[in-house]
Amino acid sequence: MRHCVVLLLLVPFAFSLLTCLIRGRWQTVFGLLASAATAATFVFAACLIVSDGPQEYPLGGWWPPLGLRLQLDGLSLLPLGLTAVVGLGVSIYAVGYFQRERGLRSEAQIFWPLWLLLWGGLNGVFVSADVFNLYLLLEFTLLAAVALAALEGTAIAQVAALRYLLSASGAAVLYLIGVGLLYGTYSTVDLSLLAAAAPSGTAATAGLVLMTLALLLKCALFPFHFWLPPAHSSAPAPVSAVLSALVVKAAVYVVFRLWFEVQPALLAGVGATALSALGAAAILWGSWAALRQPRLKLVVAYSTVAQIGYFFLLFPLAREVPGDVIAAASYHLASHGLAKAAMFLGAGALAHTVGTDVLSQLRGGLRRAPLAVAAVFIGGAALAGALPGGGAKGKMLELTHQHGHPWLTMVIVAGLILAAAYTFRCVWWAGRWTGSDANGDSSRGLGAVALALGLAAVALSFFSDEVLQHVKA
Amino acid sequence: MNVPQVVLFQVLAFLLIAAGFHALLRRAHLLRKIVALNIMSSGAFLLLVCFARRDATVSPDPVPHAMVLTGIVVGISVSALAMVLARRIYRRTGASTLAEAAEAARREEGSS
Repeated sequence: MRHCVVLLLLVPFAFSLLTCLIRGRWQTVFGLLASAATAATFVFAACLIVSDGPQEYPLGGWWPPLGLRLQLDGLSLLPLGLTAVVGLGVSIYAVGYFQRERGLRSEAQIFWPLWLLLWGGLNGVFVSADVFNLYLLLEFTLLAAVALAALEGTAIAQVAALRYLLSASGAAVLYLIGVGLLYGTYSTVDLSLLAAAAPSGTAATAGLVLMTLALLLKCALFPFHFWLPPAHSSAPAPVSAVLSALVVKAAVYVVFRLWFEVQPALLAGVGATALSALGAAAILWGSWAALRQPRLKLVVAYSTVAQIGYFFLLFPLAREVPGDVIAAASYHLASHGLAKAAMFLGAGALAHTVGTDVLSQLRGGLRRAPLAVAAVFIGGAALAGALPGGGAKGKMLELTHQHGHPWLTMVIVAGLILAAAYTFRCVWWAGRWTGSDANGDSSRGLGAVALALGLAAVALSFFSDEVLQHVKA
Repeated sequence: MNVPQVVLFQVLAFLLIAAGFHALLRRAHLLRKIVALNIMSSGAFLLLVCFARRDATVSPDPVPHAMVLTGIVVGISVSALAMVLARRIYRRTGASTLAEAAEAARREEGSS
């Protein structure tokens, strides 16, 4: 039972190797089996956190400072759960997607090993407890994500993937320098040992700043978002969903580990205000840009740029109520992940039925692919804070209102209105009536998977308080 | 003048990082960008090795060396993937910079 921490990495990695070796139908079978097994491992891990509290696991029995430590705690619970749910949905979707799209059969053969590698890498980021291991696993996920982004083989996808790779690995070198500066000062890379040393002084602060800058580029916070929209919008639909819902969250998660655990003193400084300002700029600019895009997948990609801003917006409150800020951010992470996966998968199903994702040519989409449009609509509604059980944005509004930050409240409200507007714009184009009722829905299964993820976001809103209890604990 | 050797190496490391970073941002040609990335990581590796030996009387710390070895593997993987993508882009569009390639890709999409 204790070993399920390691199994979170080992299961997807082992199946990734296996799916490299086999082809055809059996590859799909093993891919689905791997997804089910990985998701089941998460269920065991979640039970372990809920029943026994946070877990620590020394790899090979070696404890830090010499060995590597893995950990399972409240903060890692929601990212791992999100990865399991979205991962399972994307795997089921991918089976149908790659079978339907003619000429994508060979892409499917590359998709499974890379996707399982990415899944294992993401799980690894969420259980790692030292900054060097995080560097490795972030690079690991980057390599798999770039290869997946270039999967479609169009020139536009390859250019976007290469731009993503060059900027993110440049940032990774800065992160590594930061790790070096921390190790040079404190002779450890373990998160809790670093936190105990309470890093201060020029070298350690410079290290943390370099690491944060690198992570901001990897999670595409404004103004480092330039690589995201082309890379996320030109990938195949299941890949776009994974990139937007999960991969950018890995970097956000590491920022939270560094700022809230390793050096909470940073939150009191000017850095927290700066991050909050960048977050506000991301929300306003990203939402506005999403409103002006000509293609559905670009709208969804720019909406990711905007939604990343919410993670950093509340940093000025983190000194007074760190627990509440972490809880709101974790809830936003899970809720946005489910909503964004539903939107990208729905957009893919809609584009499959209609033949394009250019908004002005989507007319009739609602009649021909109602499930897909419903998924986009519910996802958009979740981003606009309109969840029946109370969304993450509601919690953020409550916090900013209580602690007297009227500017932040206004930014959140503006973001919600813009999110509602760009969602409505997409659904409006798809809802326009066409005279000729062309052939019916050829992607009902795909639309149903997308809708299921959207409904999962709705379901989560009803249980958010119970789930967030474990995050705060 | 008696500067400790390790300081010279640290200065060299920062020069390599700065030169690599500058070229990564400013040079347009894709091969130059990939080489710049490698120079930048070499600087980072040198810096890590410097931290391993802080005092000539004590034997060096092996942990940074292990980190550098792992970092080299990561660097090779990144370079390999970047070169494969750059070559495919060149074959497809004849472009050797990201800006030209993006332009060619837009034309390709527009014509199809």
